[in-house]
Amino acid sequence: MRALIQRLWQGFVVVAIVATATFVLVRLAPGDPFAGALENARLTPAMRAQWRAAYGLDGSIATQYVHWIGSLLRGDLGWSVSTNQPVTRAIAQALPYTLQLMGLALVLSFTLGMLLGAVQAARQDRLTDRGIGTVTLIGASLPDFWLSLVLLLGGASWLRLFPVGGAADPLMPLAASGATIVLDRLWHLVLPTLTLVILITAPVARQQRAALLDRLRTEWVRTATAKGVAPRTVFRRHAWRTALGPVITLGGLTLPALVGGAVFVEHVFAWPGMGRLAAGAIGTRDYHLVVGCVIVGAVLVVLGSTLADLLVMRLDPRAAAQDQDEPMRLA
Amino acid sequence: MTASSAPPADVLLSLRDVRVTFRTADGTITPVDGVSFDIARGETLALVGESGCGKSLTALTLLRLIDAPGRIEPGSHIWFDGRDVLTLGDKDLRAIRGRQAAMIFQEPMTALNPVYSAGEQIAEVVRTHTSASRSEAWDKAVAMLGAVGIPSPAIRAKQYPHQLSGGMRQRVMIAMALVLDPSLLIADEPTTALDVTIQAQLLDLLRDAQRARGASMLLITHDLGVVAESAQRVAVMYAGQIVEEAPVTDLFASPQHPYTQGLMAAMPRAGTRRERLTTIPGTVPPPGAWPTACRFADRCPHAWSRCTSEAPPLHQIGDRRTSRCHLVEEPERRRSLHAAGASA
Amino acid sequence: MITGTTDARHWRAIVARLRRDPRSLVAAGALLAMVLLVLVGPLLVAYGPNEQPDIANLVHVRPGAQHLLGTDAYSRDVLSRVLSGGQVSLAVAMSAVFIETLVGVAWGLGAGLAGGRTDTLMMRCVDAGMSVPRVLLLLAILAAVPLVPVWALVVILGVTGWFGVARLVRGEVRVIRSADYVLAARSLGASPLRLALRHVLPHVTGPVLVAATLAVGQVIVLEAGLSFLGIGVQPPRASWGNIIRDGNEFIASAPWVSLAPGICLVTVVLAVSALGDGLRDALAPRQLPRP
Repeated sequence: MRALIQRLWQGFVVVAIVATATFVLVRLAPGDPFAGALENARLTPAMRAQWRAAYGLDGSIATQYVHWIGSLLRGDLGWSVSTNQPVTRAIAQALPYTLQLMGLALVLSFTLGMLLGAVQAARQDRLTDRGIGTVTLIGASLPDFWLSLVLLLGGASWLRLFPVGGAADPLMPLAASGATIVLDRLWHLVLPTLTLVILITAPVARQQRAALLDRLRTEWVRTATAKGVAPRTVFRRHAWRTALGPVITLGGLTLPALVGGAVFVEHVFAWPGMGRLAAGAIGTRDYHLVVGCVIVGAVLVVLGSTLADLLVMRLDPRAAAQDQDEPMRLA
Repeated sequence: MTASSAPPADVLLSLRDVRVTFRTADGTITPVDGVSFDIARGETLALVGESGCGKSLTALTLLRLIDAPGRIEPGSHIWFDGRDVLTLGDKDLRAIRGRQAAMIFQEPMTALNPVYSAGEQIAEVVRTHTSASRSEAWDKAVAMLGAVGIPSPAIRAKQYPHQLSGGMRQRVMIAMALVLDPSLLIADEPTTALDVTIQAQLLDLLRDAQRARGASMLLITHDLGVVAESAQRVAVMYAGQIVEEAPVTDLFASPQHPYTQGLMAAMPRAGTRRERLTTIPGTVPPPGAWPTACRFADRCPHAWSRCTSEAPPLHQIGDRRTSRCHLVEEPERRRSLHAAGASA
Repeated sequence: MITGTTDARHWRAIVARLRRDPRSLVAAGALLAMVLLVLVGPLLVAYGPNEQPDIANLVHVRPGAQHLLGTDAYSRDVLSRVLSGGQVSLAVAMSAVFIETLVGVAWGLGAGLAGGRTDTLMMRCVDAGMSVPRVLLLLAILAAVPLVPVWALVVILGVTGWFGVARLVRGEVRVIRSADYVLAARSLGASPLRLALRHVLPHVTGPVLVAATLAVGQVIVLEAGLSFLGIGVQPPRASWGNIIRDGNEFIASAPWVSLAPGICLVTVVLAVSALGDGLRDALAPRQLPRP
C-alpha cells in the first residue's frame, strides 16, 4: 500500500514536470501559439475575452503558470479550435479507440513475445534461437510509420483483404447486429494492431529470453531438478514463473514507445484515436489539443507503468516486502 | 570386481572412475578426474578438500545434475542401489532424484525458489513422487517442518524464503530432502553459509535424522572439524582426485597424505591455544593448470624429484585405507621426515 | 566489463573483435555504402532534387530508364530526392546525436561528481524525461514552432534525447568515484573537472559509444517520423521522412515514392542497430565461447 502511494506520487511528479515543461515551451515558442487560436475567425469576441481571462494571458508569467496549472487540475484542457469543442471532450471520444488498439496490441505482442522468447531460451544458441532473434530484431528496427504504410499498401491495396483505414465500415446498415459490429471493428483493427505487434514483440522476446536464461542458471532450478521434477515443469514453474517480473517490468517500459508509435499508426490507418487526434491537431495548429494529447499520453504512460510495478509486486513476494527486486537485465 | 559390475548389496553407492570434463575456450578441462569411492548402507562418508578441488561437482554428478558444457565421460560408473545412474533413462533417473537420493545445497537463500512458500516447495517433492493430494502433501510438509525443529510449522510453511532466517531456510532445505525418507542424503557444505552456533545445531539435526532413518550420507565439507562428529569414513579430495581415504579415527590418528596433514594442521582445535594456524601455502590451482605428476607437488613441504616426474597411484595401506603419495612406498624417507617434524 | 583504458591496445582488441564478427562487418559495409551513395550520388543524377521538369505530363512516372525510381506528384525525380534527402536525414541524425551525447555526458558527469541533493534533483529530472514518450514531447515542442528550421530541429532532437546517456554516465561516475585510484587522486588535490576528464571519461567512452551508435538509428527514425507528420524537415527541402509523406497520399497508385526512401531508412536503421549490438559485444565479450 505504501509502495502504491509512493508510485502514484512519483507518477504525479512526472506529470507535473511534463505540464510545466509544456507551459515553458509555449512561452518560449516564437509567435505565441495561443495568438493563432485566439484570432480564429470562428470565435466570438466574447469567447476571446473569456479565454484571455481563463489563461491570464495579460498577467505575469507566474500568474499565467498558476492559471495554467489551476485549470489543468480542474480538468480543463482548453478549447480545441479545429474540432470546435473542449479538448477534454475531443480526447474522451478518441481515448477508447486508442485503448482498444493499444490493449489488443499489448496482449498479442506479449503473448507472442513471451512464446518466442521461451522457445529461444529452450533452444539457446541453436538455429531456432538465432533465427527468431534476427527476425524480431529486424521487426523492431522498422520505422513505425513506414511499416504502417507498407502494411496498408500490402494488406489493403494489393491483397484487398483489409479496409484501408478507419474504425468502422461507413456503409454498415444502422440495424447491424452486435456481432457484425464487433467483427467489423476487429476487421479494421487487424492492420494497425499488426504494425504495433511487429514493433513491440522483439523487445518482449529479447527480455523473456534473457530473463529465462538467467533463471535457468539459478540454484533453485537445480534444486527443483534434484527433487525429481520433470524438465517441463521445472521450466514452467521455476524458471518461467520467476522470470515474469522482468518481462512485465519491460511492459511498463515499452509504453512510451507504444504511445509514440500509436501516433503514427493511427495517423496512417485513420484510426480515430488520440494519436490521430494529435497528428491532426498539429496539421491545423490546434495547440491546445496537441498539449492536451501530450499530457493525457504522459498520464497513460505513468498509469501503465504503475500498473506494471504493482503486478510485479503481486508476483514476487520479495518485491512486495522490500521493493528490492534484482536489477533489471535488459538484453 | 571389474569396473562395470554392480557392487555388493550392502554398498548403497559406488563411484568407479568418475570423470567430468568441460569444454572451454582454452581446451578441455577435467575437474573431476577418476574419482572412486563406496558408501555402505547407513554409513556417512565425508568428502573433504579446499574449494576448487571438485567435491561439489562430484556431488552434482551423482544425480547427473551437471549442465552443459559439462559432461560425464564414458567409462564412469555410479552404482546406486544396484543400478548404474549413468545408464538410466530420464524417467528412472527422476524417480531416484528427490525420492531415493536427496540433495541439500550450501546456500539455502539461492537454492530455494523465492516466489513459492516453504511449504509449497516441500509439498512439491511429495506431489512429484507420490499420488498424494494437494492437502495431504501440504500436511506432510508442515509435519516435516515440525520434525526438523521449526517452531509453529503451520505458520512458517506459508512464509517465503526471504521471510525466514538463514538457519530456518536450511532447515527447510533439510525438510525438503527428508520428506520422502530417501536412502541417500547428499549434503554439499550444508552449514558453511551459517553462524557457528547454528552450524552445530544443524549438523546434529542432520546426523540424528540420518541415523534415525538408517539413511546413508555423503557429507561434503572443507571443515575437518565437522567430519569428526558426523562421519564414519573420510575421503580427501585434491585437484579432482581422491588423495586419501580412511576411517575417521584412523585419519585423525595418522593422516598419511601430506595434503591431509596440511588440512589438519590448519584446523583450529578446541583446548589448544595456538598463536597462529598453520595453513597450506598457496591455493588449489584451477583445473587445466594442474601439475602433471603429483598434483600436490608444488604445495607439498615434502616433495622431492620423484613427485614432479611420476604421478603417484592411489596406494592401498592395509585393507581399510588409501593414500595417493609416493611416501607410502618409501618408509625410510617417511621416518626421516617424521624425526625432522618431531624435532622442529 | 570493459576496463575503460584509453590504451591503444585495448581499442585495437575491440576493433579486432569487430572485424571477426560478420554481422558487424556487413552492417559497417552497408552503412559506408549508404553514406557514399548519398554523398556522391547527387553528382551523377541528371535532375536536381527540387527540379520539376514537367508538372503536367511527368507526374508519377513509373520507375524506368529515364527516372530510375520514378517521379512524384510534382514530377520531381525520386532518386534525386532520396539521395539529397539522405544527406539531410543522416546529417540531422548525426548532429542531433552529437548534441544529445554532449549534453548527456555533461549532465551525468555533473550529477555524479556533485553527489548529494544536486545529484538527486538532477537524476529526478532524468527520470521524468525518460518516462515521457519522446514523440509526444517533440510533438508539443514542434507544434509550438511553426516551420522549424533544420538547425533548430537538430537542437530540439538533441535536447530531448540525452536522458539515457546521462543516467549511464552518472552510474559509471558513482562507481568510479569510490575506486581507489580516484580517491588517491582526490586526496592529492586533483580538481573535480580534472578527475572527470582524466579518470572518468576514459571509462565511459565504450558504453557511450554504443549508446550513441544505437541513438543514431533512433533519431533517424524520429526525424523521419516528424517529417512524415509535416513538423520535421520542411519542404521543399527533401528528407526521407517528408518524401514518404509526399508519397503517402498516393501510396496505392504510386507506391515507389514512399517505398524507395523507406527502404533506405530501414537499411540504415538495421545497419546502425546491428553495428551497435556488435560494438556492445566487442566491448564486453562473452566469458564462455558459444558451443
